Amino acid sequence: MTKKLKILSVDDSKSIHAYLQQCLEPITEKIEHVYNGVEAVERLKNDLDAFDLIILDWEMPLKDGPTTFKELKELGLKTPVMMLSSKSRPEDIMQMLEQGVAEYMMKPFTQDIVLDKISQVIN
Amino acid sequence: MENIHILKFFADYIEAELGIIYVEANYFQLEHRLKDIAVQLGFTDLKALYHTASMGISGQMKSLLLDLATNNETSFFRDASIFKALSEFIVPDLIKNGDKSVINIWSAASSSGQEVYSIAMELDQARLTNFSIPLCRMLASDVSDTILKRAEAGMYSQLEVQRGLPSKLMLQYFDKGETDKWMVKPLLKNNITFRKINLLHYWGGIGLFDIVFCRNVLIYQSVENKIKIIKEIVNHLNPGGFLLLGAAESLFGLSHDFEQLVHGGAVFYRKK
Ligand SMILES: C[S@@+](CC[C@H](N)C(=O)[O-])C[C@H]1O[C@@H](n2cnc3c(N)ncnc32)[C@H](O)[C@@H]1O
Ligand SMILES: [Mg+2]
Repeated sequence: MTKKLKILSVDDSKSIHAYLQQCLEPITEKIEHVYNGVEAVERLKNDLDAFDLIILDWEMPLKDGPTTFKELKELGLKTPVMMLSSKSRPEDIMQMLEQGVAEYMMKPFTQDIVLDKISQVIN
Repeated sequence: MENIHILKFFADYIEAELGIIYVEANYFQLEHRLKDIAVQLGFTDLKALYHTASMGISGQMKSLLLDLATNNETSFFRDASIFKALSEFIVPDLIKNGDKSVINIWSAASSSGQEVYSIAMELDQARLTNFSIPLCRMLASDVSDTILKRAEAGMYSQLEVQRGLPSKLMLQYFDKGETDKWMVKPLLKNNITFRKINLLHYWGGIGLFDIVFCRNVLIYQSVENKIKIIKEIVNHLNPGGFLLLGAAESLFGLSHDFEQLVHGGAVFYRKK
């Protein structure tokens, strides 16, 4: 990856935002944070191409990850979405991959895991 | 360090067995690890361990000493371009004359197995579009009993299973067990044999290979040992067979028996 990325992180956990920010520092031009699906849809609906990648939590208040993903698809989102969740049942992962998320990362994760997964998604 | 002669004794043993050199600057770390081993084996202290070791080293003590010195760092699809080269260039090159019924592959320092399972997954995926890929038999070997057992078990923690492995392939080739362990599905193990082999010693009837992965293990060896191991690999490769090294390794100055090839950014070698 040569170009630095613009990433939107959607997660209700402040510490996940902080950790992602730190992990992704080497590859990001900027990383923006929102705290639930309602905020994510709000941020993206008139600006669908604003980011190179969206990292989306599953469990969040107001609007969860799967619902958010569905709405964003209906709005015409093309940007790859990587799901990030502590759900690690194969059925859950399969469900999201079938709906079209580009990659699925289980919590906890390390910096090399997230960098590696992002490079697979972007290339 | 009062135990300097003891440390030197163990450092010499490790070097003789593995070719891995402990310089004196790292004796502090060595001492620390030896003390752990002494405790594990029920000795009162390092001197007691040394006393027994000086009469001969074998069994569990040997395993622990070899494990102490080896680095088992690995991941699935480590340097992904190498695995693409395997399915896009190397295998097609081997079968281009149409007379190959089996491809024999050796993962010569397989650590906990990620490398050999990545080879198996890559080939299985490639078969979806290339129907002419013949049966591929794999040998996975390592000097460490402990790590070889882990490879054979094919059981990985949630962190390990995510390193380098896309989630789609994880779901396809692994079952989730209890307690967050992910297990390689039996079908992926079908054509893999596991065997303990020290690259510095006689390999004994392992046969001939078409592809040898010898990755991230030569880096720890002296130039003389590297040359010796590569010479042996040449003797165990079919004509036109391939050698794959780690991303930071090269054959430069070590062998004239190969031509260097590049595919999709991956560098590898074909026996002349
Ligand atoms: C860093 S790992 C490399 C694993 C894998 N090939 C990869 O590239 O990801 C190195 C492995 O080499 C093994 N090893 C070290 N010295 C060896 C020797 N003399 N003979 C065979 N294996 C050896 C270690 O036990 C360890 O599992
Ligand atoms: Mg959450």
